[in-house]
Amino acid sequence: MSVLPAQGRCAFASLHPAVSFAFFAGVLLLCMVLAHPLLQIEAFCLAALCYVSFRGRAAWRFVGGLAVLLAVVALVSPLFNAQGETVLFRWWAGRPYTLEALALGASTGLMLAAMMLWFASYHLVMTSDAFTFLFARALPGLSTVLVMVLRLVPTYRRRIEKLAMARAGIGQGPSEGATLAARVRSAGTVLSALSADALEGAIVTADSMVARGYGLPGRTHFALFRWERRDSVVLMVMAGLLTAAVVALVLGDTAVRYFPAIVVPPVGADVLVGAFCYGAFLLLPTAINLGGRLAWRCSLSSM
Amino acid sequence: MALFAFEHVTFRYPGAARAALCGVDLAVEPGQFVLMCGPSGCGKTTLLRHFKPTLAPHGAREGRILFEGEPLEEVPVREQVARVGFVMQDPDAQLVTDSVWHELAFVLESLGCDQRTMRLRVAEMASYFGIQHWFHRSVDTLSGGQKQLLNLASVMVARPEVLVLDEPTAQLDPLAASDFLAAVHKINRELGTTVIMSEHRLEEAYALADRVVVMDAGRIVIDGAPRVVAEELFRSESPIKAALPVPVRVCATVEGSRAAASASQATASASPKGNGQADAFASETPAAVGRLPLTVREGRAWLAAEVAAHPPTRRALPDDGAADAPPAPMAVELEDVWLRYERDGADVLKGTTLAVPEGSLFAVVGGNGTGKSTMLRALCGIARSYRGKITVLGHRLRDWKRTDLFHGGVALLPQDPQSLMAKKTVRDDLEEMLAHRGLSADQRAAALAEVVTAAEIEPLLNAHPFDLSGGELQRAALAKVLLSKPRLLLLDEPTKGLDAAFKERLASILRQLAARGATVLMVSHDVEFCASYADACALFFDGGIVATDDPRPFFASNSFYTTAASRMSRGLFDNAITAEDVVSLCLS
Repeated sequence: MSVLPAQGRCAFASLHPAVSFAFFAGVLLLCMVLAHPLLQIEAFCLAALCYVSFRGRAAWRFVGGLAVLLAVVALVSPLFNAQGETVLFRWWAGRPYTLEALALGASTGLMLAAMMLWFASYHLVMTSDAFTFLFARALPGLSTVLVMVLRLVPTYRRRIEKLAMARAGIGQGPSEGATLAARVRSAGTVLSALSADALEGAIVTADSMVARGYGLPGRTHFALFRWERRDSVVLMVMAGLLTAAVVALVLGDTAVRYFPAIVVPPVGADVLVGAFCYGAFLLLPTAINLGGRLAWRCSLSSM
Repeated sequence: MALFAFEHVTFRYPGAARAALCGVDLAVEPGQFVLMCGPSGCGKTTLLRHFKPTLAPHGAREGRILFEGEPLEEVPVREQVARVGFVMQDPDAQLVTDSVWHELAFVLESLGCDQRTMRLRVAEMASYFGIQHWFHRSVDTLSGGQKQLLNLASVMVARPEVLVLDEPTAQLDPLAASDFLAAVHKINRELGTTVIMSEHRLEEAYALADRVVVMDAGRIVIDGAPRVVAEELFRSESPIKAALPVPVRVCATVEGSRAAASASQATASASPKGNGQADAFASETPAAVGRLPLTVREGRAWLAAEVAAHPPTRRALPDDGAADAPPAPMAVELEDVWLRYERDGADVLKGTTLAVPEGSLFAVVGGNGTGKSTMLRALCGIARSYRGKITVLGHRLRDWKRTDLFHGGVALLPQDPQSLMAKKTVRDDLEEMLAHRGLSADQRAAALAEVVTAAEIEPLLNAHPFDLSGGELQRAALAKVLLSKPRLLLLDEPTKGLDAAFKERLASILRQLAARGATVLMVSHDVEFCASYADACALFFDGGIVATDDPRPFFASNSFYTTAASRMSRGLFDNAITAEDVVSLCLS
């Protein structure tokens, strides 16, 4: 699932899953709540930086794509939202295209793009191994089901390809020029063969599970991940920055109003401190990744 | 005290007419490597499943099964799980989780081991089986052989004292199968784990076992050391003897016919007592049993001694070159065909060039992942080549209309015959091929009857495809393919999972087809099968054909990638590539 290029670049991914999960949970929550343009721009830039620190050059295409998405969301939003008093121009049947709606669109687009970037990084770090490890203890039954489903999806996909190819090899596949009905019938045959096959396989899997003692009381969970001192340190730093950011931003005024006119509250010292802590928090994975690379370089040069 | 003792165990499936196991008495001592063999349906699987009560089939059982002197049912489940490991046939369906490490830890999780123990045991097992390189991989990226090795390792991680394996190599190719057997042998030899394994492919497993149990119709018919059992199988003319390793077969046949010859001489010249032959055989037996070679190495030593003791008149078989045969038209021609599946992927076919004459049984041999199956797919247009010329049955492949190509033209029997069967009964599956063709009911019945006879599947018509054995399934799928009356039949690993008897039947069906003018092109790992039955062989390597020749010169000139008979007789005989060849030269 994970496509991390090299372990060296991704020191953050080698942290304990609980730490990385806590980070992403915090980030996504704050991203959704904080609507101040300063904080949003900050979040988007740092999200892009974080993703780049994971993927390297391969990340730029995705970041570029999101910039386009951002622009589209911003530009399109006034078409559906005619509120606001600063009319830039009028279009179809005299509908106003307003600056306020444009600004709101940009804000929405920024949030969307930032969230997508964070999710992309999340996806790289939280592999299925990490995820099931985290939830195995809380939901033992569910985590086994999850692990089995994760295994069955690729199995069935491969199986369908195999069945379809086998049928094509005897001229029973959907040939070119076949009618829709024939195609549907052919797909139906493949699916029914797959379900018979799946049931048969399920019996073997069940046998294999019982033979290996599934269902005995007192099941434990193998932990692929170990809690290191580093994890405690990162977790504490994270908690500290997060608390500071939340306290400062709650004290300061970050509520932006767009309609009828844009009102951005003046940026006071508290908001500045909050933004700084927030930024430092968001910068953590990037810093850890860069630190990891630096550590590698130093250790290499000292050899 | 025996580790496992079966005392007069009789077992009957609910509603079955006859018992699946009849009065089975079997005592397995600690550390033994027991090989169970017998024709399919003889009750091997039923017996093996009784070693593990959680897997034992439902039905009526009589008799006792003792584990270390205690009735097996009374052993707590937790102890059974830990002490008796069970590996089944299907490498894929046995896997429960999505990643290798989790699969290894699964049984330990069930047993409730603590973190430290699990870490150590998993690490130990991964290192022992060489799994550490793919420890973090997802299971669906593994090959069949790796999956089965993982299944073995994830059972061994509980440190069982008994390992029960039910045809574990049936779905593996020969190379993966021999790796797997080597791992099982290592476990038995290095850890002293008791192994009870059923197999139908005896060539390799036979020499590893120190006890062989032969079953037939739910009974144990022979039980003893491999050499003794082999001797007994030959004496009783059992059909299983065809599955024995080549050196055993050669030696037993040669010594048997020498004994028969000397006995008939004795009867003719000396006493007309009538039981002379049996006497002579009996007196020959102890010597033969001691010398019966199980491996190629022993076979070479035996053959050298045999040739010195009874110098044969001929040392070489003629190199039956087909120079005098008139050049037949080609059914298949590939010229510099290049193919890859993804735009940026690696080339799978790299300038493949091949010509297959009409009416021949042509075999392409070669290792895994070299592109053999892809070549077959390219031939019927399922995979598209991007360069080169493919001619099938006289026309360029791209000029064929799909419907014409697969109707009376080409048919591909895939590696897994199961994937062709999509209906509830074999009959429905066969009829599917005849639907939408505008045939009358009589024509359909006639076409059906013809293939049913050819593939010998009359008794299987109303069975569900999933209930068939490997060999039966292969024949049913073959019948389905034959319904399109192909002039070019493409077979992908047709002998995978088949026992010796089924292979012979398959070969005779293919021969009949070729005799009627159809061309059979098969890709296979099974060099023994190709050497015995093919008209021509080609070696496939690295996306192309390296060499093509008649089987005799082809296998006689190879010294690694060749048949056991050729390896056994190298330097002593020339051009002997099958057990029959070696026997005929020995007796000449």
